[in-house]
This record gives sequence, structure tokens and C-alpha cells, in this order.
Amino acid sequence: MAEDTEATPESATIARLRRELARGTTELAVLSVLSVRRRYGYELLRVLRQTGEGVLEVKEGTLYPLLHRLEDSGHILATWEAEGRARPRKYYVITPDGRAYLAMLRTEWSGLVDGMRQLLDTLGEVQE
Amino acid sequence: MTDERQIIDDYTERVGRHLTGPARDRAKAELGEHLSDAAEVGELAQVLSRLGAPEEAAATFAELRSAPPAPMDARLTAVVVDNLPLVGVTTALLVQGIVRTLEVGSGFALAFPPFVHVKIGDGCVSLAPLQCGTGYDYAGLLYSLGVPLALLWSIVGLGLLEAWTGTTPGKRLMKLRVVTEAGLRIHPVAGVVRRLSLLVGPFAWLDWALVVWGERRRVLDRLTETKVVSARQAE
Repeated sequence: MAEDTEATPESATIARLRRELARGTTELAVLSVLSVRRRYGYELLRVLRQTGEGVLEVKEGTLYPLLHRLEDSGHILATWEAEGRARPRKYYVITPDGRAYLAMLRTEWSGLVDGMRQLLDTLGEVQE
Repeated sequence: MTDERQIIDDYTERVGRHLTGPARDRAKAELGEHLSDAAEVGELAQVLSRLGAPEEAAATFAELRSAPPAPMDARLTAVVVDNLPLVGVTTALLVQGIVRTLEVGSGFALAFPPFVHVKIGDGCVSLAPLQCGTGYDYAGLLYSLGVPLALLWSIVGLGLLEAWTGTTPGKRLMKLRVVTEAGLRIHPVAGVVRRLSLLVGPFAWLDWALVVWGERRRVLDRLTETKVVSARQAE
């Protein structure tokens, strides 16, 4: 929680704005990463935090509840694998159901982004 | 490295205390793996600060957090099984009442859960529409000892069991678990308080009244910020 406490009011506003914009996109991000190949929890978190220039700021507190939810709804499958390690790892794989759901999320997301861009561009022209 | 191992084990253990049953083992395994992987790349400290207090981390890995309240028919079945002593005592009172009516010819009144009264000096406190103490006078020990013992099991016994194990015999049968809204182990006080409605006789059913309107939580579930959920299928 400590890293959330920003010094200036502006950066606090930006942090809040980011959180609100990121809400709902984490699911899309997680399924997209898993659609490439299976991952284990910590690996998935690192990929999410490192790519996209840290826009997502995913934390364990967001990721794991989401993974549980996706597992319950059958969009992903989790399996423990020892693979010769002392501690087994839990790998997450996307299911055919998950792929269909991801395709739907992608369409919705693209529609939203396109629509917003169009709206912002049109408003820009009107003002000129 | 052994230091980190110790930190991970301690933290995982403390997180586990906020959870019960199979969910605890799964959460501990998941958290332990996550922390070990973080330690391998030298990021254990960052991860621990992101996770925060053990209770917060427990909420993160509590798989029952997002679980919706369980169906009411399963819950009612569990209630009957769990409260068998109370059902038994009430049935015995009923039989005794019927026998007495046949013998003496006087009527009798009975409710489920039975009305209880508390004697304070010469006075007494009761919600029963009958005069204190005269209602079940004929019942003798069955009422004066049987009902309190059955209620003790139904309220304190089951309440503590829920706080310790996350479930009760009836709930285990119906594959149900009790958790806080964050999916964590409930406090013993919450376990007892959410059963206190049994003390107000048949008015206890008011606690379930909202179910008629499709609500899936009792009034006392809401007051104690707990919920009854279906246990997750074992992997």
C-alpha cells in the first residue's frame, strides 16, 4: 500500500485515474498473455507489470482474485506441476471457452478505443 | 537464502491462520510458490510490501472471496441437520403435549424454536405470549434442561465450530462454508452472534424473512458481515 501514497495531489489524481481506467482491462491483459502460452503466477505478474510500460500496475491483490474467478468460470485451467523442483508451480492455461471470451473482450475493447478516439477527434475539430 | 526461506514460511503460516479447510492449504501453497519465485529473482521484499499485513494477503489468496452466497435450499437442509438436538427436543415436547392433552384434556402451545425465558429474581423475561414459566411447566426437565442444552449446541457449539473449521456437520454435508465478506475465517464472536436469533423463539424465522424476496443472506449474516458459500471443488 505504501507505494500508493503519492506526495502531490496531481500525481494522486493521476494514480486514481489510472486505476479507474485499468479496471476491467486487467482481465483482457491476463487472458491475452495466457493466450500466447501458459504461465505461472509470479511470471504472469512480471509480464503484466513489465510490458505496457507499467500502465497496468497489477498487484497480487488484483491478479490472484482474478485468476480464481477466471478458473471458476472455466476460462482458464490451473494445474500444479513439480517439474523436478522442490516446490511445485501452479500453471495457468487458457481454455477454448477462455479463447472465445477473450475474442469477445478484444472486440469490445477495440470498439471502445475506436469510439473514444473518434469522439475526442471530432470534439477537437469542433473546437478549432 | 535460508533466512528468506524462514521469512516465507513464517509469513505463509500467519496468512494461513486467517483461512480454514482446504482453502487454507491451497492458499498457502499458492502464496508459498509466489514468494519463492519472488525470492529467486531477488524481489521478495517488494512483494511482501505489496501484499501488506497477513490478513490482507489472506484476502488476496482467499478463493471464496468472490463466491456468491449458497442456494437457500442447501442452507435450510444444513440448518435442520445442525439443529437436530433442538428439533429432537421440540418433537419430544410435542409428543409430551399431545399425550397430556389426551390424558388431561387441556391444550398446549408449542413453537419452533421453542420460546425461552430468563428468570431474574422473582421476575422473568420472555417473548412468549404465555405467562412466564407456565407455558411448558408440564414438560419438566425436557424443557428446563433439554432446551437450554440444545440451544447451547445450536448457538455456542456450532458458532465456535464455524470459527475454527469454517463449517458445521450439516454444512459439511451440503458442501457449504462460512466466511467473512473477504472470504476469510470468521471470528468466534461473529460465529456465535449470527446464531443468536434462536433465542427469540419462532421470531427467529424473521431472520430468514428476506429470503422470500430472493435475498440469499439472513439478516444476521449481513449484520455480522459473513456469508455462506458453496465450497470450491477440490482440484
